[in-house]
Amino acid sequence: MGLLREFSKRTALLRIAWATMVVAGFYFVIVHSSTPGDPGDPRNRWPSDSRVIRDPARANLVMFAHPRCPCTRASLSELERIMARCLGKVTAHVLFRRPSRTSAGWESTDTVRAAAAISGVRVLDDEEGAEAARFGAKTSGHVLLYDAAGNLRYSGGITVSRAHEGDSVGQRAVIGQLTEGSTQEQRAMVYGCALFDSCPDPRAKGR
Amino acid sequence: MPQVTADPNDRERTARLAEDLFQRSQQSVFKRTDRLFAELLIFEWLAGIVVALLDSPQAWVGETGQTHIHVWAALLLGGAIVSLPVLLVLTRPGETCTRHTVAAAQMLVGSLLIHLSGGRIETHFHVFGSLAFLAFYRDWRVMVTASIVVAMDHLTRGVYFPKSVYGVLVVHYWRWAEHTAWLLVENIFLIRSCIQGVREMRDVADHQEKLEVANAALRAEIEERERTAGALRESESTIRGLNVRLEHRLERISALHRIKVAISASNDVRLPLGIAIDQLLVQLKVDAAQVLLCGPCCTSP
Repeated sequence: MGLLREFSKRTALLRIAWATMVVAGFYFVIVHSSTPGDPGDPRNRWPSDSRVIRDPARANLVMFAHPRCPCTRASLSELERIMARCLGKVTAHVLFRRPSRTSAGWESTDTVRAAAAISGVRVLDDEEGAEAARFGAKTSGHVLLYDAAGNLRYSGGITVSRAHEGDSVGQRAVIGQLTEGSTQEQRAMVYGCALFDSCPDPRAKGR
Repeated sequence: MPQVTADPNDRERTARLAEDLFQRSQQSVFKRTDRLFAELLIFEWLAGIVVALLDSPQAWVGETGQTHIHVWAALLLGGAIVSLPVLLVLTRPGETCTRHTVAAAQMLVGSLLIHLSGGRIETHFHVFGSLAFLAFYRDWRVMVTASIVVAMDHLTRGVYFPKSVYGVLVVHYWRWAEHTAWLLVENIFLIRSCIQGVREMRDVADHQEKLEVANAALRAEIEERERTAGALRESESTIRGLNVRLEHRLERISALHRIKVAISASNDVRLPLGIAIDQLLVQLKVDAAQVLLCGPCCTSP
């Protein structure tokens, strides 16, 4: 009762305004981080014109990444966990988009170095996002898993939301595909920065 | 040893004074902790901005970078969270509503930092650290407010945005209760500690008040004894003065007596002088007797 008595009308209004502002702020931030990126149009078969060398002896995982996207660090952390659990069962390629118009060293970031440090991962430059366009990926952190025959088995992200590490549907699906050999194609949402400016069709540029 | 609070009225007065002392001491703790949290909240706000600027300064759309939403969240949402508690600390320090707002804000800052750090499990330690800091208030109700804020946050986000708090899309409905149970375990110890702390503060105030009463009685007795000693010193001085005067008179008597003996021995017939000396001797003896009986006020020097 002593507490209630202290709540004068003026401070109560101030408090309500404050609580509303804070709740609205959190709502906006959470909605933003939970909003997935463009799922793209992934190819069901490994593109024949791709310059990425597919390992026919095992499954191939391709991740498309923006070198400066802060959300992609979480994707790489999850990829590291996947590789630790499925080493020898998959060949992983991480392709960092390199725009031609940017200054030298633009793509030289901690994210690229973190990818290169993951055991069993090949880091490649993706000039102008040509490979991303060939594979149909538009969002940084997009993972495509193809089986040894080159058939798409998984498409999507491997994080729970933007820049958030942790157990996710995508991560479980990839591990499931690699360890249990499921033949069913699975998809999940992908969270990250856009790989391309809002151009009409990046595939046109890559071809 | 002086008697302390023997009278029921005195006991009641001492208890009231002890309660006042306890209230003053508690207010001092509340205000000091309010200031501490105002500084901590501002520090956390600035730290959140630095984390956002270092960890995720920009979001990208192709080659175009723009300020990441984390930076705006740290700056604006963080600023909004700390604004009201800091304002209340400045304008209404020590009040109940201030520390409850501080408790709520401290837990909300924790939620923001967890979000900014990408849900890192290490950042969740902020919640438990904050509860321990809030125990500085020695007010268990503050911990209840903080725990309710965390429970509501986990409950709401667990239902609508589970991945933002638990890191997974599908969680059991009661997962929030599991997180809250961990808080409860910590709360049990902290609340007990707070209650114990308040009890000790009250005991200290009680003892201090009793000591002050005893000191006051002791001071009064010392003053009384000093007054008595002063009176004794004054009496001693008077007696010493009387003694001096008595000795003086006795010397005069003795001198006159010697003169009278000398006159008698010379067989002088000047009787009037002998009679006068006899009268003077009688008078001096009477004076001396009066000095002994009455003190200096009854006699002429």
